[in-house]
Amino acid sequence: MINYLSQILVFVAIFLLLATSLNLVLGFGGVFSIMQAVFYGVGAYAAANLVVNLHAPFPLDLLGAMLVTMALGAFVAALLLRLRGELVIIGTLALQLVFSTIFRNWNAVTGGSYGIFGIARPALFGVPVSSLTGFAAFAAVIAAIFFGLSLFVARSPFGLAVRAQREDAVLAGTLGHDTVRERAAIFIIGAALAGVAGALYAQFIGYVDPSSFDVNQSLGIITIVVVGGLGNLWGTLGAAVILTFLPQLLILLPATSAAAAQFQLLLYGVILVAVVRFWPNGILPEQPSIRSAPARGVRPALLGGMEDGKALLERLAAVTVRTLPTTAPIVRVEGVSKAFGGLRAVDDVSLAIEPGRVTALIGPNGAGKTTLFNLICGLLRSDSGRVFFGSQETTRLQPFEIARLGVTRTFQDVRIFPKLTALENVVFALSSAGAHVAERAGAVLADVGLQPHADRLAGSLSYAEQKILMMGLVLAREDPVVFLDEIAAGLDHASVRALGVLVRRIAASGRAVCVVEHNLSFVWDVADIVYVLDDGRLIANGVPADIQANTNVIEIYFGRGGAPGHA
Amino acid sequence: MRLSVIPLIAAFALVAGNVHPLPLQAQTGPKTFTFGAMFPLSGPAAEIGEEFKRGLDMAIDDVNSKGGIDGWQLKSVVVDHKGTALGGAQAMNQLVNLDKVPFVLTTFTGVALTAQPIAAQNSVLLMNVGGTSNNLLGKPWLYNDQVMGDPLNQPLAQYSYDNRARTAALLTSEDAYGKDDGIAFTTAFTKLGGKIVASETFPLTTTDFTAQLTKIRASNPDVLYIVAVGDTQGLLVKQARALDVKANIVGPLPTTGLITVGGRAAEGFVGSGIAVDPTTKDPAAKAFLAAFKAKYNTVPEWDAGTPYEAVHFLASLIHETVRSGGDPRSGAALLKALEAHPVFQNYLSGGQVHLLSDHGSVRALQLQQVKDGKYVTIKVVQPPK
Amino acid sequence: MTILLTLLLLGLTVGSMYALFAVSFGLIYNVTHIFHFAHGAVISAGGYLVYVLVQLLGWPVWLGIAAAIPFAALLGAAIELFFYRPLRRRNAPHVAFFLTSVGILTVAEGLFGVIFGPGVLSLKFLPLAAIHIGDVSVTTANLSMLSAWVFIALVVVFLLATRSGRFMRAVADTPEVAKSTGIDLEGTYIWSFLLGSALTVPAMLMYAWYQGLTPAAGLSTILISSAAVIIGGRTGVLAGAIAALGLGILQAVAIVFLPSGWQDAVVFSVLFFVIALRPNGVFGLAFRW
Repeated sequence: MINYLSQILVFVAIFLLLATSLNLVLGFGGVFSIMQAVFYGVGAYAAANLVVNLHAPFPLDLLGAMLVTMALGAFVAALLLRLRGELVIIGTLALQLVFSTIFRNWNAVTGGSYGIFGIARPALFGVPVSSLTGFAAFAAVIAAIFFGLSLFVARSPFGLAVRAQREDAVLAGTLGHDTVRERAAIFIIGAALAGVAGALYAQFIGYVDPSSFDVNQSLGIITIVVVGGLGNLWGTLGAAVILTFLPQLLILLPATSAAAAQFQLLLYGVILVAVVRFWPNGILPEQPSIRSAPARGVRPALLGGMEDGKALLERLAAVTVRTLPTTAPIVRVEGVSKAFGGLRAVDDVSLAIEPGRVTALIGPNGAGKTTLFNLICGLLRSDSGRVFFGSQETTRLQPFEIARLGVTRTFQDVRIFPKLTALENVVFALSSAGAHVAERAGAVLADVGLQPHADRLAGSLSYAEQKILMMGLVLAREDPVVFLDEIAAGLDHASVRALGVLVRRIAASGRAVCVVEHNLSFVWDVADIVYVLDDGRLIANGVPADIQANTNVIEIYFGRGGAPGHA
Repeated sequence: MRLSVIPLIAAFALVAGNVHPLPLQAQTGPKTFTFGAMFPLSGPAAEIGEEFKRGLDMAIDDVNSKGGIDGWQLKSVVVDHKGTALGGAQAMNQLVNLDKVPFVLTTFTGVALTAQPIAAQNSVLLMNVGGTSNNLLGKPWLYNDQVMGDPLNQPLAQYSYDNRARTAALLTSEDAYGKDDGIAFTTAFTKLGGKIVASETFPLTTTDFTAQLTKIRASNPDVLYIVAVGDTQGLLVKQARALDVKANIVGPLPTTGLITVGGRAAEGFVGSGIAVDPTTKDPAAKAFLAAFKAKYNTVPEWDAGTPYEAVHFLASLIHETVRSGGDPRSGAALLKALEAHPVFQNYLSGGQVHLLSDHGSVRALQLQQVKDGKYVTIKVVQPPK
Repeated sequence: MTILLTLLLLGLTVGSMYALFAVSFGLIYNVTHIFHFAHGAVISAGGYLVYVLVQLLGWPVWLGIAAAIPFAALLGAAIELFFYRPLRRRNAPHVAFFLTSVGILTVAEGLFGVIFGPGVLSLKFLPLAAIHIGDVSVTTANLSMLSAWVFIALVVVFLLATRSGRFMRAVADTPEVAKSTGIDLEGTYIWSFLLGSALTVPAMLMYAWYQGLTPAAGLSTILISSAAVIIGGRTGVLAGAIAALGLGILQAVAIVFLPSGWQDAVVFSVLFFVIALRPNGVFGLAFRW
C-alpha cells in the first residue's frame, strides 16, 4: 500500500508542478497557453538525453532540463506574446501540435515514437534513489521547493505586476511597467517549472515517449488549474491532489476499469464544464499579495467609518500634495499629426505644457483631444511631428518609457485594476519607486479617505470611490508631469469644485499639468492656458477669458448665434 | 481565506461515492495465488485484449475447478496497458508495487521491453505471450511463448518470393513492434534476393495513410508488408486498395479487425502466426480447442491460446516449486522451476513448446490467407529440429 | 509525374472537405467570436448517429443523413443556448468560453468511447474503392469530397439572399454597429450555430468514408477547421474555405519533399507563422462573405 501511494504521490508532485506552472502563466499572467505539455516534454527529453548520453548527475539533470525549457520559452515568448489574447490560444495550440510531430519524428534527440529507454534514477550523495518511497520523497521535496518559490513569486512585487498587466496591460504600461517583458518573464518561469516536472517524470518512469506530451495533456493541465482556481496556488495544490487520485479510483472500479481511459476523459470533461459554469473561481479565489495593516495606534472605527463617495470627493481639496523638489520639464508638442485611414484625427498640432501651470485642451466630441493625449504619452504612434519632455525627445518611445520619465496619465472614464485591491492598486503604482512601499501606499489611501476599503477589490468600489482611487494613484506617483483625461466627468458641482482645487494645487507644487475636459466651467476655473481643438486642428489658444470671448470657439460649441445664457 | 466549499464537496463526493473497499487484496480462503496480466483493453488493439482475456480466464477456471494446484487457487489481476509502452510501464508498476505479484503475463513488444527492467529489478517472472520482436530475446527474467522476429517473418518473405515478388514496400507502425519486425522481414527478403523499394511508417493513432500509401504506390512494389494491430490493419488495407495499391499484402499476426474493418479489401491478405491445428490428435490440445469452440462458437486463435498455455505452465511451475519445498509466491523460486524444466504443453497444435536458451520458444507457425472473408490456413511451417 | 498529379488531385479533394469543415466552423466563429472547440463534439455526434441509424438500425442512407442534419444543427444550437449564453449573460471572460468548449469536446470523446468503444468503426454503406481517371486514381471518398462545394455554394447563397444570412454577415463584419441597428444578436448567433452545425454532417461523412469513425475524430477535424479559418482570416467564410483548400493541397504535395511523418507539422507550422506574422489571416479583412 505504501508503495502504491508513493507512486501516486510522485504523480501528484509532477502534476502540482505542471499545474502551478500554468497557473503562473495563465492565472497570474493572463497568457492563455495550451502548450504547457510541450515544455513538460522538452524537459523530459532534455533530462533523458542528459542522463542517458552524458550521465549527468543530480542536480545537473534538473537544471539542464530547466535551461532548455527556458530557452524555448524565451523563443516562443518573443514570437507570440505581443499578440492579443485569443491569438495566443491558437498560436500556442499550433505550437503544441507542431511539437507533437517533432517529438514523434526527431529520432536523433527524442528517439521518435520508440522513445528513450533506461533513464536511470538520480543519485543523491552517491546513493541512487531507486526505491519507490525514496523517489516519492525526493519528488515531494523538489515539488515543495519549487512550489515555495512560486508562492514567493506570486507574493512579490513582480507577481503583483504580472497580475496588473493581466488586468489591463495598457494601464500598467502607462504606470511605467514594461508589460511585454513581464509577460515574457512569467511565461519563461512557467516553462522552467514544467521542465522540472518533465525531468522528474523521465527519471521516475525510466522511459519517455511522445504520447505523454500531446494536446490532451495540455488540456488536462488546464483542467487542474481551473478547478483549483486561477490565481490561487493553494487551490492548485488541492486540485492536483484530487485530480490525480480520481483516475486511480477509476482503475479500482470493476465497472469502469476496462474503459478507464474513456471514463477518465468523460470525468475530466464534466468537471471542467461544471466548474467553469458554476464555480468559475475554482475551489479557491485569487488572493491579494499584500494586505493593509490598520493605521498604527488608530482603530479603524476612529477613521470616521465609511464616508460616502461624495463626501470623500469633497475631501480631495484638502489632500496633501508635496512640492516638487526639482523643476518639471516643459512638454513640447511640435507639428504632430495622426491619420486613421482617410480621417485626420490630429492635424499638425503644436502646443506647450509648462510647469506650474494648468493647461487645458478643449473641443467638441471627436476633435482629437484624447488622440492627442495618446500620441503624447506614446500609446499611439504619430505620423509626423515631434514630442519633447524637456530636452528629451519622446516621439518614438514606448508608453512605459515615457511613464518612467515622470509622467502620470489618467484615462477617460475610470480606469483602475478591478481585480486587485485598492491597496494593491496603489502599491503597484508606486512600485517603480523605493522602499517601504506598503506603508506609503497605506498613507496615500488614508489621505484620500479610502483606508477602510484598502483590502476590497477595486472593481467593487463605487464610481466615486474608484475615481478617488485613480486620483490616489496620481498623487502616489508624485510625477512632475500629469495628464488628466476628463476627470470631472460624471460628478456633481461640489465634487467638481473640490477636484478643481486639487488640480490647481498640483500645478502650484511645480508640476506640469494638462487636462482634457468637456466640463467648461471646470476649465474656466482651473486652467491657466486653454487650447481649443476642432477636427484635429488647433483653432485657438490663450487664457480662459480670451477663449470664452473667441467667436470661433463659441461657434464650434454652440453653432452660429452665440452661446445660450451668454448675456 | 474564503474557500469555495461547494466544488470541494462535489469533488470529494465524486471520490467518496466511487470508493469501494479495496478489492485488490486476494479473497481469503484456501491459499490464493495472485498473478498479473497486462493486456490491451483499450486503444486500437482492444479486441485482441478480449481474446487474451478469454484464454486467461478459461485456463484459470480449468485449474481452479479441479481444486486448484496443490491447494493454491489462481487469481489474476488484469491491467490495461493501452497498447503503449508507457501504459506498460505504469501497469507493471501497479502490479509489482500494489499487487506484489511474482508472475506477470505480458503482451506487446513495447510493453514487454519497458516491463522487463522492472521485472528484473523486482525478481518477477515475466512471460510474454504476445510481443514478437527479436529484442525480447536474451533478456533476464523474460520468457516468450511466441514465434518471434525471424521465424515469424521469414516465411512471409519466402511466400512472397515464391509467388514471384522481387520488390517489396514496408508500411509499419511507429513502435518497437513495427520497427523490429520490419527489420526481420527486410533481412529475410533481401537475403532471398529481393529488393525493398519503399519503407514508410505511421504513428499509432493515425487513421489516414494517404501520404504513405501514395509514396508506396509510386514505388510499384510486388508485395506490401504491413505491421499494425487490430482495426488499424483493416483501415490500412482498405485505404491501400482504394488508393490503387495493387500489390499483395502480407504481415505478421493477422487479426479480426483486418476483416471487420477492411472488408473486401482484406481478401488475399497473407498473415503469419502461431499454428493452430483443429485436427490435432493431441488430447490436451483437442480438449482445449473443443471447449473453446463450445463456449465461444469459434476455434480459438493464437491470442487466446498463448495465455491459456502460459497459465497452465504457471500451474506446473507452482507444482514444481511446492514439490521441492519452496514458496511459489517467490518469483525466484518460479524461475528456478522454469530453468529446471523449460517445457510446457502446446494447446494450439499439440505436442510441447520448448523454451530455448535465448528465452524464445520453438513451435509451429502457420500462414493464413483471407478467403471470402475468413482466414484459411495455407501453410504450416514446422520449427527446425 | 503521375505521383504529382495524384497528389494534386488528392490534395484538391481533401482540401475541399477541409473547406466544408472550415466553413462550418467559420460560420460560428466569425459571427459569435467564440472559439467553439465543442464543434468537434457535434461533428462526431452526427457521424455516430448516421452509423447507428443506417448501419445498426438498417435505415436507408438518405433517411439517416436527413435525420442527422437537423440533429446536429439542434445539438450545436443547444450548446449555445445552455452553455455559451449563460456565460455571455455573466460577462464571462474569453477563457471561460474556450474552457467550456474544450470540456464539452472532452465529454463527447469520453462518452463516445464508452458507448462505441475506442476502435475504428467503418461505414459499410459507403464503400471505399479506387476510381481511375486515366493514369491517376483516387478513391470514391475523395470524389464525394468535391460535393463540398455544392454545400458551400448553398451557404453563400444563404448569406447573400436571406435576412438571417445578411444579419450574420453584418454581425461578423462589425458587431457593434450591427447591435446598434437593432439586429437581434442572440438570435443571429443561434442561426449561425444551426447552420454551422448542420454542415458538419456531410463533412463528417466524407471524412468517415475514408478514415472511419473514432471518438477522437472530433478533435482532429476541429483542429484543422479552426486552423484554416484563422489562416484565412475571419471576416468571411470563403476566406477560410480557400485557405482550407490551400492547406489540403500543401499537405498532399509536401510529402514529396518531407518524410510522411512530418505531414501534420506542415499545417500547424503554417498556422503558427500566420498567427505570428499576419494575425488577421492571409486574406486579412478582404472577404465579406
